[in-house]
Amino acid sequence: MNVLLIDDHEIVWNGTRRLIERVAAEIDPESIFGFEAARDVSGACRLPAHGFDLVLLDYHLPDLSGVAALSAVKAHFETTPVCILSAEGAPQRVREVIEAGAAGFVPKSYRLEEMEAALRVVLRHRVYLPAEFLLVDNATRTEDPDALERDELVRFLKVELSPRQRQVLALAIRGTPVKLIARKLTIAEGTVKVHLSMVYRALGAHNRTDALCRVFEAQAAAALEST
Amino acid sequence: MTVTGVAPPRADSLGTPQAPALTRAAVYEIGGEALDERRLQLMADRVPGARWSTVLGLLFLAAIAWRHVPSAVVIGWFAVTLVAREFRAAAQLRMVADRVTPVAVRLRNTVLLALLCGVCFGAAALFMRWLDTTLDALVTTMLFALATGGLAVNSTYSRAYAAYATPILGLTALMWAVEGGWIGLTVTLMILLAMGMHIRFARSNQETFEESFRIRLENEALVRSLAAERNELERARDAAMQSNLEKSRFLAAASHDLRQPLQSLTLNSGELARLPLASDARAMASDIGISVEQLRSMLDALLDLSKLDAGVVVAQPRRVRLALLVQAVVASFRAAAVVRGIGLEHQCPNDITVETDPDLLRRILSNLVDNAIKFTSSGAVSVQVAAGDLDVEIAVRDSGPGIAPEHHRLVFEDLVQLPGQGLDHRSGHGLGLGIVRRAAALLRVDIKLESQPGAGAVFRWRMPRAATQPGVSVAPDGVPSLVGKRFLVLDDDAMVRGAYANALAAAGAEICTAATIAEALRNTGQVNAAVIDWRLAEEGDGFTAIERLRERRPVLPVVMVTADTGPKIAEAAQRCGAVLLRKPVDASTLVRALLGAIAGPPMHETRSSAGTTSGAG
Repeated sequence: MNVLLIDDHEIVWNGTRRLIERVAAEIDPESIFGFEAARDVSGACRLPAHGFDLVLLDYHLPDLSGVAALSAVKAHFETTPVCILSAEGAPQRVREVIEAGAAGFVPKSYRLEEMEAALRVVLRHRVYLPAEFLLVDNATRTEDPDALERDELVRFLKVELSPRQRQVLALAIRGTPVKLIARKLTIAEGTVKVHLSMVYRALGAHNRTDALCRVFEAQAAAALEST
Repeated sequence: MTVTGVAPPRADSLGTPQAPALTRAAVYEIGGEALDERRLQLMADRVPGARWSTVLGLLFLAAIAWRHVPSAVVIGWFAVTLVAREFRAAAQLRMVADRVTPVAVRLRNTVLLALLCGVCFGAAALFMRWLDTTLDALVTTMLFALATGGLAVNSTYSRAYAAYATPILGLTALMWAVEGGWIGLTVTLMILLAMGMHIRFARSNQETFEESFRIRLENEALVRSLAAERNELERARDAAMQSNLEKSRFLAAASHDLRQPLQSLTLNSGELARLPLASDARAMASDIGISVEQLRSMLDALLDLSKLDAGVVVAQPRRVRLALLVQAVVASFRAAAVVRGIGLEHQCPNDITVETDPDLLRRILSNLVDNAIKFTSSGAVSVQVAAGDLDVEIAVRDSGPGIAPEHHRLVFEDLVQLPGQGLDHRSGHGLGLGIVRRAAALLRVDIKLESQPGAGAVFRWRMPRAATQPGVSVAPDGVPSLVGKRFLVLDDDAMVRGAYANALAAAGAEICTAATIAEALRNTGQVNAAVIDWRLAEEGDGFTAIERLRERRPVLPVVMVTADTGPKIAEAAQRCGAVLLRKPVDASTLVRALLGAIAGPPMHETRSSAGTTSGAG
């Protein structure tokens, strides 16, 4: 597994690498672990676009930062999921970056066990949402009568979706644009859209952010892995 | 014309805009100079205006004297007088413009000029030597007129008037006195008395002028000092806002930069503890881990607190489902409660919504539960939500050692830790309730503490429930307004149709009615919602109508009315997202149902299309 960390504070590079390496070894002892770190977006964009399985991007960077940095990084590492790391995890900020196409948001201020748990999820499923965000977002969401219950949702994802649909959904909730999903799976964009609208409706989701919340909240991300 | 008069104080105010408020004494001091300038200005303004009346008067005097007085004397007097008058007028104007010569000198010159004119005019009285009593009287009248006319010109400076009028009236009086006889003496006396009255009048005129001028200066000073005060306040406000901004910026930087080394420390000490170490090294690594954890928790709380203080956090109220929030907060503390060996319970009715900021409410609940768990060594912590009609009461209860009433206020202060409590000292920092207090202030809720030593503690507050239907403004009693809305009424019974139309029109709505589905289809374009009777005369029923109408308007909100009481229609109505009303229906129920249908969550689309999907599959 190859992970890229973009963080201007070199002081955290080593610690983060050790933690990620250990978690990655637990998840998949077979795979070879690779780690790169870059100080800023331009440094990161000089690295090959297709070598990484996951990009961890610090929200605060000296030149290009926040959503702008996210867009630039996503543009370079087209199909690689990008998770935001930030010490500041206000719900509005989480929603902002998720809507801008981030695959997840890992708060840096977590205590070690929680950070480790978060990284475990991120490394396994390439998506992660902080509990506080789900909490606040859920507390305001009106119950959609058509949304599936948790257990049903997992069953639905595992059993009722075709492998192709599962692939489409897995890529979509990680923030992959429709165009790239189509290219990656060599199917028509229209087909991707049809799959997505069907799956979103079944999830009771209005958009990608909603779908990500639903899947994540039901701890159903694992159901998408068995492709 | 006021520019010159008030120039000195105004220039002053431009030069130093923050000049302190002028005292009354200062007003008089500045007023003295400005007052005299203004005096001169007014005199200069009036001298040219008096020219023609004066010249006419002088001509008349010359005419009276012409036959009786030697021509050379008359012509000489006229010429000299005219020159003197014009000289004064010109000099007066020059003195206004001349800002170099001290104003006192210019005033003295004014008096001299007035005296010159007075002497020249008054010289006409000498003609009386050659004239008879009748013409003497005419000359006296003319000179009186000239003296009185001078009041207007010199009204702002009584000394100038005195210098002008005294020679005129004095010489006139002298000539009558020389004439002698009882007439002469009486007239002399009368003229002198009149002269005294004229001069007194001029003086009081001057006082009025001075007083009004000073009032004006005071007003201007007042306006200036108010403006200065306002500027001062604005500057203070700007400075406060600026420093607040700087504080927020500092906090942003601090939260980012302070956390990085701490993050590194956390990560590395965590990994260190996992390495194969000798037992003393392992113990050290564990101690470091605990210190780092405590540091992290304090830093988080401190930054939370400062952010709340800096005013960068504002409440963003939304509809919040309380049960979910309470459940999740409690769930996040379950592990901590298990470690402490105490119970953690919660009760919350499932369907309650409140209008609040979910993030702030979560912080309040989390900190209270966190605190309760830390202080409780046996028993349980519970979160209870009780719903009233209009509000909810939330209580966080613990079976800890309790707090003496005299300390109730103290616990909400920052960094206060009461002695002798069963506190888990490893994680306490005394900031939790400070955060609660600030968050509660932002949410405008009043958190009350009920506790006695040995009897546990309850933190309790109330918050208003959210309205059940968003967007429906219901008048306290009576029917909500439907102004600006348009509805379709589909019923085969003309009388019922008319009754619905009347009821809705009375609430301000526009109505189109239809007896058949075909007729209804022609009218679906602009309506906000439709009222449909389940029983229709033609084949098919109300649901057929809904289906047909939604082919054109996929998300059309519908209220269906029926006399049927069976469950089948209710189920069918729910499937297609229609609000179902049982007959008899009164006007206000119908109006509310329509508003509910319009304002309802945008689930009609999902429902109807999901229905279609399941029907197809």
